Amino acid sequence: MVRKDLGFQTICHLVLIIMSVLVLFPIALLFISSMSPESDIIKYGYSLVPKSFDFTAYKYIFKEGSVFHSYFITIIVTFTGTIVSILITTMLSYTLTVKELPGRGILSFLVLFTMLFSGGLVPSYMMWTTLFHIKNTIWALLVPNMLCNAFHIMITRSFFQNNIPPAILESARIDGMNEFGIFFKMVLPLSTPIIATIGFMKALMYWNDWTNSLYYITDKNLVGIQALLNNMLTNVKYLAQSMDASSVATDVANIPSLSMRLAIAVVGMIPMIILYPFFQKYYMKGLTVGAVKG
Amino acid sequence: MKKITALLMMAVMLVSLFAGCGKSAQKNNEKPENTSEKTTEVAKNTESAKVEKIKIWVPTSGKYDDIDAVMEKVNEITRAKIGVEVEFCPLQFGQWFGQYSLLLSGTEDVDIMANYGGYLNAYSQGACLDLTDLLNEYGQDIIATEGEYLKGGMIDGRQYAIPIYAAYAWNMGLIYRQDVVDELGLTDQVANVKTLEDWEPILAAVKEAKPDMTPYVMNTGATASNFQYGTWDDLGNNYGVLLDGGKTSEVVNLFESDEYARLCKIMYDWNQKGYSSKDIQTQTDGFGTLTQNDAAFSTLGQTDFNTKFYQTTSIGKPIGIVMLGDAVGRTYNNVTYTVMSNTKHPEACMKFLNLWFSDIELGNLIKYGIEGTHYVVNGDGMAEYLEGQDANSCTYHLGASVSNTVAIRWVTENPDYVKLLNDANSSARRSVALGFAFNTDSVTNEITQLDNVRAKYQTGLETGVMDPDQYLPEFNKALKDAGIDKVIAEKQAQLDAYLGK
Amino acid sequence: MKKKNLGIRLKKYWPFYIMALPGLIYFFINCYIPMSGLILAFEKYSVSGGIFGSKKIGLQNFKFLFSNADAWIMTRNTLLYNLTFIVLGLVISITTAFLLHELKSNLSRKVYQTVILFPSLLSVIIVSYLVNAILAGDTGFINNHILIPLGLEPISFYSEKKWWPFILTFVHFWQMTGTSCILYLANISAIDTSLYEAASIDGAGRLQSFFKITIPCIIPTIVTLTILAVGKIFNSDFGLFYQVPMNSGAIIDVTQTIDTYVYRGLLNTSNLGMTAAAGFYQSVVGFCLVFFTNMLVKKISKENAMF
Repeated sequence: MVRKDLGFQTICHLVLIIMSVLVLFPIALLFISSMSPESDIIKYGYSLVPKSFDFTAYKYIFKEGSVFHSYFITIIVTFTGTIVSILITTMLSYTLTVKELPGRGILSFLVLFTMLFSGGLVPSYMMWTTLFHIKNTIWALLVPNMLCNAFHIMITRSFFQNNIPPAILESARIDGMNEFGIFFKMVLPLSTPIIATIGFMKALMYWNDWTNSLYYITDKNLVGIQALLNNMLTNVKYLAQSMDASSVATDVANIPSLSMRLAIAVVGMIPMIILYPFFQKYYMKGLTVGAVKG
Repeated sequence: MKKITALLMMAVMLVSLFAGCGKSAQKNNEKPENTSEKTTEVAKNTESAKVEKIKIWVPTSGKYDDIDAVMEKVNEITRAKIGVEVEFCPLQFGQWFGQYSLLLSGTEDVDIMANYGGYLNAYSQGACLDLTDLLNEYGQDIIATEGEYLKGGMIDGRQYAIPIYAAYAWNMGLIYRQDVVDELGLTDQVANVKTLEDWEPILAAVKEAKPDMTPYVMNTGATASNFQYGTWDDLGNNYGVLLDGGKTSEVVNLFESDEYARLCKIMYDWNQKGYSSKDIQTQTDGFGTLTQNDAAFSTLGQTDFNTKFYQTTSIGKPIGIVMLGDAVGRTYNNVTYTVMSNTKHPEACMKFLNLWFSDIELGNLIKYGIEGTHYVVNGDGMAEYLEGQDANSCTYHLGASVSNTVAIRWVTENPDYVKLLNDANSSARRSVALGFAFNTDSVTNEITQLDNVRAKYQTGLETGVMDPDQYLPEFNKALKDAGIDKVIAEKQAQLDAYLGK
Repeated sequence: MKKKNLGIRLKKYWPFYIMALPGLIYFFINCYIPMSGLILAFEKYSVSGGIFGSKKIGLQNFKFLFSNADAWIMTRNTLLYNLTFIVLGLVISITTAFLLHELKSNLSRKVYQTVILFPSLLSVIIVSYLVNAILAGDTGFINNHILIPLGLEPISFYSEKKWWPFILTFVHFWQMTGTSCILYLANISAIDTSLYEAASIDGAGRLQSFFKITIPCIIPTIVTLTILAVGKIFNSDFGLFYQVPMNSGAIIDVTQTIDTYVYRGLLNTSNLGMTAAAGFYQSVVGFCLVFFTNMLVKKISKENAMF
């Protein structure tokens, strides 16, 4: 028994190590190149063994200060958005699990439909800016396309249906608990795996989002870290295309260097890396089934 | 339950903190200029009936942290002279292109809009106001400055866009590192270069002497085709051109021409011989960045009387040019300003544009900022950054202008720029199609398909990575299948109608 | 009689409706109101007309999607890539989740999982830089440090079509596995361990219990995810198919999808109606497929169907 287990464990580790190497190798290139001098990258390409080290990109980032501010914005938006979003999603998903609810089928369909059809960017933009005036406010980072997602609703509903034994809920109702109580005191605590899962997915969505910023934010104080990076990357793309050269004050000096872009990419990854193990704890827990079956 | 409530309350608090903070952050930004808001209010109250406020959207690559302070000064002038207040809404380039179509949709509060890469899109959506009458009534300075080049903003005889006044006459040319040429003793040889073939020995010499420096690279990275700025008049898009640079008005298929085949063959040859990188197709950085790092020697691009000066100072290394033909004034003008068709202040917009075209103080303010705060004037009468500041630390350097003649020179520019510009523009030969705008409404489907065909072959052929003997015929056949002949016929018909007027 | 019943039921279930309200309101605002903008697909947009008042031109905006030689290629590419991603995705995500779950050491699980998550945090443009760093002709890692030292001919990846289906599939999974295995991991962790104990007492081996216990328990998740993926089968990750190949023309035949085709075609023309038409077309196809697949699933096991 023990030997078999050891063999299997070895296989697990082996496969996962290979995957990790495949993942880490380009990231290492990224990391090392962000610390190399610009001219080396341009002339010799990226390499794992740099010819020399040059931390100007990082120095600039931390001196400039706007990177920290962007971090701050992204963290606030991610934190708030995730929490509110989890609440809305779980409540709606739970409702959709109630079998005898009138209109349940229709509601499920309507929710799913939103995943398939979309009005597109322009109508959404028009609505959010002219009707709701969210341009250049923090709501633009929290609400459009982020707050609730049919995909998460579907998987949460699926989880509730398959992992919350109706028996417990029934007995709670018989005991006189109201529906809200049942939801908050029984269903949610039993659902930590799925909450952690969608929580992490939503946090990742908020963290990585930069398109909302691209379209709705022009105020520098509301730019998140990924938006900052992507703005820089697209600026470079267009600055290189300096069209009527003499009509635009495009100083080549203004174009952020390659190592700068790479450094910001590295910097943009870090918080999530640190936070992730924290989430893991929760969705690996599993159910405490014993008590229920009894 | 308790935990959840606590978390929720925290979330709500944070958001409300920030919702307020977002707006107050904007105000904080304006703190040193807080008084300016008050003065604007006061001024508005006294002349509230007369003063119209307009918004102008421009892209920029410079900083504009202090824009409110600058706008206050700008408005002092505009209020006094024309009873108009302006608000500039700048966007960084990357964001500009993302938002451009949204701005054009007419739902945003836009009065005047800058258009990069042509205004025909705006026109076909009905976003451009007909400016003909307004121009005649309020645009005297514009007419005086631009003269014939105003045609670049006309469609069917009506004015829809105001082109900026910049170098109109240009041609395809080689841009290269002058210091390398001098170092290798090739100065005389370069002076005798007349055609693209003549350039080859120079490339060979550079390749041998400088192994780390790629002799030939693309000008703008992989974002624009190698022959974007050619010796022909491209009449708006490259489907149907005037091959001789606009001496006659016969529209032909560029890609089938001998000239194009010849250029592609040269490029292929160069690539085979190693004068250009095997990866030239996927080049991410432009010539400027590469040569700054001594990784590139020469490229092809749009050259006019000022290119040498401009490139030298913006890149920071000595640059020389060889124009491969005479400068020709032609249809292709990149930057125009249009007035949104749903604006509520059409006269105010035209008045402002006119003022911007003539008032040097206004031009300086908008372009460089406030004298003494954002720039100083040196002994030669040219502007430069304050002591100890540079492009990154100076808080305002918008760089937007409608006419390169209506602002003092920046220290890195050619001091004789204005005179040279006016000379070049007035004396250069003009293409017969100057001012022609090709209306693509009837051929949109063909153009989308043609654009996809071009995406497949153009870069490869023009950078010399694809063998023209094999791929050029394929390219042309695909173009024909996509309907290029129909587009060319349509263009010829429109051009003839235009010239017949 | 029926009316009364409905009234009574509504009264009984009102707490649920309240709970569902925030989400439903959000969907209405965020998704359904802008959906009316789909009418753009049938119009020639003009500023004066706005979204609802512009000139109606029927199906003209859809023509450019079909009337060209490349229509078949882009559709084929989109379908094939998506099918590959769906099928291979199941295999890779579930296997990874299973392996992670089976690890004895909590620490190594955390480490591995965090590591494979890194790529999903990178912007796709950066990913394209990295891919370029490895595949570039002159300075790329493969050519510079592997092929040339071994004395082999350097490969010009960006000019040769045959590599790209593999490259793009690899990059897709490189980026996605970290996040896609999370859901399966959560579900596998939730499986009652007593089932496994019972099975091993009965003499089942590791592999057997995987196929007989683990997989059946996560079938609901698999079905849900697959149906949803099918709904997006005509869509594609724009960043993956446009940025990673660095917009290289030579390999367009194997990297062009419907989204990149629309982007390239409308880059210089900016036609709102045509863009909307492309989105509409993709959505309609996706919707029909989901409907169809859902019907099939209903026949097999009713509770796993989406609606």
